[in-house]
Amino acid sequence: MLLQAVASGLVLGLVYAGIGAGFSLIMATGRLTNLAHGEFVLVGGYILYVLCHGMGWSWPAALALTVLGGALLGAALPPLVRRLPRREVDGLALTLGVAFVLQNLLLLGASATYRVIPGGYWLQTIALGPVTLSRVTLVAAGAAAAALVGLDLWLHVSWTGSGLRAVSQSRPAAAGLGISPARMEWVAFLAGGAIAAGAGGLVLLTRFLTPGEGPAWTLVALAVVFLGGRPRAGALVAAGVALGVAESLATVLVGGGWREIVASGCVLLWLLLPGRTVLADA
Amino acid sequence: MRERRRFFLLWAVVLGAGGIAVATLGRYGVHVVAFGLLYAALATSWSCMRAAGLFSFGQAAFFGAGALTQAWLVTTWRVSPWLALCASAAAGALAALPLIPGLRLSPSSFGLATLAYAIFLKGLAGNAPAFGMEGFLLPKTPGFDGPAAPVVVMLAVLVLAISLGYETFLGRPSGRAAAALRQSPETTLSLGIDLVAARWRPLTLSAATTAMAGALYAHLVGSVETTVVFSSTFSVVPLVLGMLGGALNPLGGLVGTLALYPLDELFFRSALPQAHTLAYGLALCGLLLFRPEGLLGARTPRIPASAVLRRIPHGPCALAVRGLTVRRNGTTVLRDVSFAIEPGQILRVLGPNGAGKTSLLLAIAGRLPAARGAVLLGGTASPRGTAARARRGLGRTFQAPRPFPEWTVRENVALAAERGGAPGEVDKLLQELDLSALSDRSAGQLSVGEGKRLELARVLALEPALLLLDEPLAGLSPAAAERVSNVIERKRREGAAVVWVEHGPAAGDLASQLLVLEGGQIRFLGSPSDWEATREAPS
Repeated sequence: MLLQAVASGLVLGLVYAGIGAGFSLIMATGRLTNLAHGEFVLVGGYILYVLCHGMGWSWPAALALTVLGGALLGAALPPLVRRLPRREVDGLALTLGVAFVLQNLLLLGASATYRVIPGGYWLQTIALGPVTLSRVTLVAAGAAAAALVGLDLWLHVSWTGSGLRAVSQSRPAAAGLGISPARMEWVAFLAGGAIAAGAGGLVLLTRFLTPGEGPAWTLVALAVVFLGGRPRAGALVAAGVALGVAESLATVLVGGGWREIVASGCVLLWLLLPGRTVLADA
Repeated sequence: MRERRRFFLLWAVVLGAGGIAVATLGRYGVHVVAFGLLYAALATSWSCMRAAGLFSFGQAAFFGAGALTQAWLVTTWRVSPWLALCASAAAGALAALPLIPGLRLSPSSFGLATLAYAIFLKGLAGNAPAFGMEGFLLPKTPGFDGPAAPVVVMLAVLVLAISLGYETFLGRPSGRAAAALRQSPETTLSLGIDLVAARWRPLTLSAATTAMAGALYAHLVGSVETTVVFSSTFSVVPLVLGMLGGALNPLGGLVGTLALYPLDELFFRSALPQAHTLAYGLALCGLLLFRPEGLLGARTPRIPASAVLRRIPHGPCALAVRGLTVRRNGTTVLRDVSFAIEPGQILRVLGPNGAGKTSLLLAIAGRLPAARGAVLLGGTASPRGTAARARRGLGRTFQAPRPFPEWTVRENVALAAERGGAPGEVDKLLQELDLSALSDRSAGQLSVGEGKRLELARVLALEPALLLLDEPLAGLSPAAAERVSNVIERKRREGAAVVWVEHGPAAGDLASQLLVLEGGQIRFLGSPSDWEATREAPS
């Protein structure tokens, strides 16, 4: 049973790493802790749900449009964020407002009903030794892993990726090299939104959707980024897997209601442990 | 006087609007008034925390703690609602305790901690056998049965008490310390004001009153569900209403509620029954983009000229640094540095960029921890932390001026004088540093040179025994530099020990010792004349 929990946690952790990746990109280059990230994930999930189950689209085509929708959502943030005098605090409040708006719009459009993918071939399980996992879960984990490798390659091989990394370290120095911080920031929001929506599609494959779950997904993203420490795919995967395994084990050993306690506990511990101060933050 | 008139006028409007609502809408009117007052209480409680530079995204933690405690005590233990109300307030204050270590954090990090904390408590409460996810159905109790007159009156008294508490807090030294912290944390610490000491009161007050509002909510609705009372609505709505009215104003919560809640109740709830809180999300976004200070704007506490907060006499104090090694981000920036200066001496610190001069000042001030070695003040080990060392008599200026921008030049110096117990010195210092003409100007509008002089005036108002000066003459005109040098020399003659980082020649004329740093290590320590002789000697 424990082995099964660890295996489920591993698979779930890859999806968590995907959720954390978009969040991390916006945080590092866009200098914004996006509290609407969980709602971005949900919007992606709902778009995929409607396209596949409401309109009968194929999964790949639906996923492509979902990612595009997420990118548009992300691109809407920079014009708002740039107007804020104190981005660090006001940015948090603004994205909380955006989260509340999206949550209510999802409630209006989709109601509070839980949405899951219908059963069938993809929900059948595959036995891997003592562990059984559904086909769809394995597909989600594989897709998340592929997306993370692709993101890491893009960030470390392409010119745009170098620009994003440069701006995340020093905006004046990057500007001095002819890299536009404003443009890179816009790219980060665009890519971050696209990744979040794509991850929302994977959430739909592995769990369920309901409009009130946004804050829980934002918390997962925060926990992954805080635990990972560095915006590198390897660190995010390690953090995501650690969180996923911890949640699975807590669910098996203590009960299903402990999932959110694990993620929120990680964030709290990271923030409240000695050593972090208002001066270190400043 | 103007504030008091505004206070009474606003309460007259509240009572008038409440009366009209009850007269025209009957029982539904009482419901509207009751929930309006509940939201006003939550918004004002949220604003109390904002006054200390804290930002809460998780007031639902305290609201849920209060509502659950009240329902549990009244339903399971048949405790009197009055007694349960007191217990709920205590439960709210207790729920704030785990966040005390977070008082050291920046507003945004503290905000994230509160967000996680609300979800954490919701999970814990949901899994607690005593509470569970099923919730409680409260028994009918006279006076506490739904939106009846007694509950409405209690809510009105709660709102009034929170706004008066907030008002009183702003007028007290602790309120001024909290306001200083909100404006410039590092400067505040350098005045000996402790982060946790200045912030725990608003946190506890906010948590306890939010929990009381949660307890009254339990009676208003007649039932309590864990998922509802810990929901993000009770974190976001107080934040939006508080910010809408003006988070840095004791009346902001009430004004924000008057402006938005009637619209929500009378229009959005009927138009969008499932998603009426959309209005709050839209209001928050619009507010941040177009009027971030809120409808009433900020009310920063003034610093009285004559108040004395605490007298801390600082006798002459020697400084000894022994084998000090400091690491920053994994790099050793100071290695095995030792020196000592006596009261009435000036030690000038020289060195190229990156030599470790500022790191040395930061380590002596307690801002950077020592990896090895010790800093001794008056022959004894110095306490940990910037604020604690400032209280031992250590005053420090910053390389780039860091004033409290919302206060005038005079108030900046008066706050330090209040801490140092020298309020009578303010005018003398302003005159000595040629700041008298600028005394009523906002410190945020000063030039760099004026800011540098204000830095020195503020530090001297603390009556320090040991002065740490980081390039106080850089960027000053020759006349201003001479004036500043004279003030430092006067302070030395009075017995202060001075560690002075400066490139220009003026500091060299006054210094009795010279410390030359290179690559974090001591290259020379001795008299300035010996250093000159060393440099002139053929190699």
